[in-house]
Amino acid sequence: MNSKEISGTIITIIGIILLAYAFIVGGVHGHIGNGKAFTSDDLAAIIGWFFIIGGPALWFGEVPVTIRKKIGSQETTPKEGEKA
Amino acid sequence: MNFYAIEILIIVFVIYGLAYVYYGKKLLQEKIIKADSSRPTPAYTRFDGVDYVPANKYVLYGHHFASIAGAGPIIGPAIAMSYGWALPLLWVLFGNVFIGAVHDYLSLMSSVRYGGISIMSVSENVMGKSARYISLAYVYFALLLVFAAFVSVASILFAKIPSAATVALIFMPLALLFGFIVYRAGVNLKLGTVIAVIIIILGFIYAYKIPFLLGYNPSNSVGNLWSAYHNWIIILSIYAILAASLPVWYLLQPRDYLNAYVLWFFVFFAAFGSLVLADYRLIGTAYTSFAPRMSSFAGQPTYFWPAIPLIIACGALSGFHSLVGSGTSSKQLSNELDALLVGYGGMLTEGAVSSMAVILPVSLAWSAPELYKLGVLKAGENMLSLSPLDRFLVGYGYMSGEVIHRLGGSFATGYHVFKLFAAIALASFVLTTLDTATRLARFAWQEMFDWLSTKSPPLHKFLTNRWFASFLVVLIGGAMAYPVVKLGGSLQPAYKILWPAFAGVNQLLAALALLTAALWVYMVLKTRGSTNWLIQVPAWFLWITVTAGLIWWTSDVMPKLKVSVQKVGAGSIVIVSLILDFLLIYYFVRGLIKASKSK
Repeated sequence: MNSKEISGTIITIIGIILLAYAFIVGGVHGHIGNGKAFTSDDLAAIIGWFFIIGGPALWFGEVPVTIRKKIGSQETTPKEGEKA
Repeated sequence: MNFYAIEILIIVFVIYGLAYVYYGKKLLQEKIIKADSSRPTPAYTRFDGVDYVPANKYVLYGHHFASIAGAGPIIGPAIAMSYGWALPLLWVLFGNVFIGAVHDYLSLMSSVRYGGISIMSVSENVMGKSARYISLAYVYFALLLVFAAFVSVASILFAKIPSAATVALIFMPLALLFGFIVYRAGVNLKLGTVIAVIIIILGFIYAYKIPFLLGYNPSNSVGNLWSAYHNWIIILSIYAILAASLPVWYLLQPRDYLNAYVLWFFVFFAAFGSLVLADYRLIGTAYTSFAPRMSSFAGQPTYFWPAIPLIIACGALSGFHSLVGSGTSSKQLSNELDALLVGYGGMLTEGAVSSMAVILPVSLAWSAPELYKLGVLKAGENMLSLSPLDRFLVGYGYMSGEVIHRLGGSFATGYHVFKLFAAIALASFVLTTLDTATRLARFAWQEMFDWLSTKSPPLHKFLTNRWFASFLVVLIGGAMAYPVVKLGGSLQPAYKILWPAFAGVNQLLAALALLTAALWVYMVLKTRGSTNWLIQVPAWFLWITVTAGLIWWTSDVMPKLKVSVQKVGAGSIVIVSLILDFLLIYYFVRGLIKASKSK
């Protein structure tokens, strides 16, 4: 694992914990946040959401093997007459 | 006219079924385009792992469908109900089959044949370089406006309907998880879909019970709602930069694929409803007037022709679709034969959203006694008394409530649950369109500077960097959406100053795309005779209609706009659009003459 992947892993795990916290607190209170001042659960929800969206991009940033295989199995040069 | 719900269902499905097979497959795919499954698509020839990535046919259909179906196929027909239900339904059916779906399919396929470039850049090959750069700049501006509108609509929806925000919190991580298990863990697509759909259903139930009430700064001078709105604008702007810059396989493909299931359920339940309520008559007025007065057009008599494309866009035809088709979809198409389902089928499905999930429910609910009992309508009112958004929400809620009632449940519970479902679904689509529009604006920006790639590679690299280009869109679009100004006595997001012009800008774009595609079919594919006229006639009809619509708007609507800054702002844009409109037809005719001389 390189440093990019390690930071991606950490960000993703923190994101999952934060979002889970927000959902659990939301379940207990009947709502996430309170619609007035910022609370720990709505901040956790937003930060966790961004971390989950961005984190895996660093962690698993490369093109998935399934897509690479698909590309490898196809002709990759345009036919004559096709504008590249 | 005394129609039953089931008759509308049959009409819609028979027309769309025949159109798909005979007009789409036999004529467009086989006779004109001659789609070839062995020809490599740009997703392979230009694969970059970010924007050019081959997608499964159904995944791409989901992306295309969810991206083109923003608020347009819902709000437009709801506004057009002022004509009664018959004229909007006719426009959605025939405009869709003969213009909209043709426009979407040809935009997609012409882009595919030119390496995945936008339809504006395709125009260079048939109309010349000037046409290309003029239209790229025009489209970039239009997309900034789209971003401003959609980030604003999503923020207002999240501030007003907090359960919709909870769904977004659940949906995005779920899409990533879905992409992970399908692309990386190698889980079968069907199994992955079943798992994801179950989680979506549970997520909806959670969101129904647990709204996300975002905090705000109580000292903000614009009030609580607008303060929450401002916070959502910032959050969604950051989201848009991320979503538009990250590779398509990472978030866009899985997210839009899952979104399509929500949309499908939306349409399916309406179709199912018309079966359950087969003996229900459409109590709404079939025809009210050819020129009712509409508040969206400064209260002026709004003639069905030429105004209808300015009212119903996405459900029948919309210029934005050509940008999606020749923007994100053409870069992900893995087989030319898939384009029929994605381009033509995606548009027909959107027409089904308009006809089955909006026009039909509103016509059934028109003045139903249950709505007076619930207090939704007051004595003497009907569905036209409600705002267009409420017409849709109440209509869908009513139809669903009646279905639940007939199946043994409570009308009121069904009404409330499905009304919220409709609002949540709408918010999901708006969010999808938001980041697709950001990505498309990035493409337009990058294509605008391609001439710099040989002259100054470092500057070109900097300007076309995907993060910088996305940031720029969000910065300018966000600046139009963030400020709140007083318009017509009430607080409104600032972009609304220019918004009245958007319908014209969008449909002029549709005319541009269809004319480009028609010229490409004539000039490059060498299609002649009656087949050629099947493309040329809709292209001319659209251009004449949009031109007449813009002239009508400039002469009848613009002078009556009450807010002077709106009159100047939106008016200038429409006038510039009209000038471009004539410039465009000049390039088109010039290209046509050149092509007919060269044979």
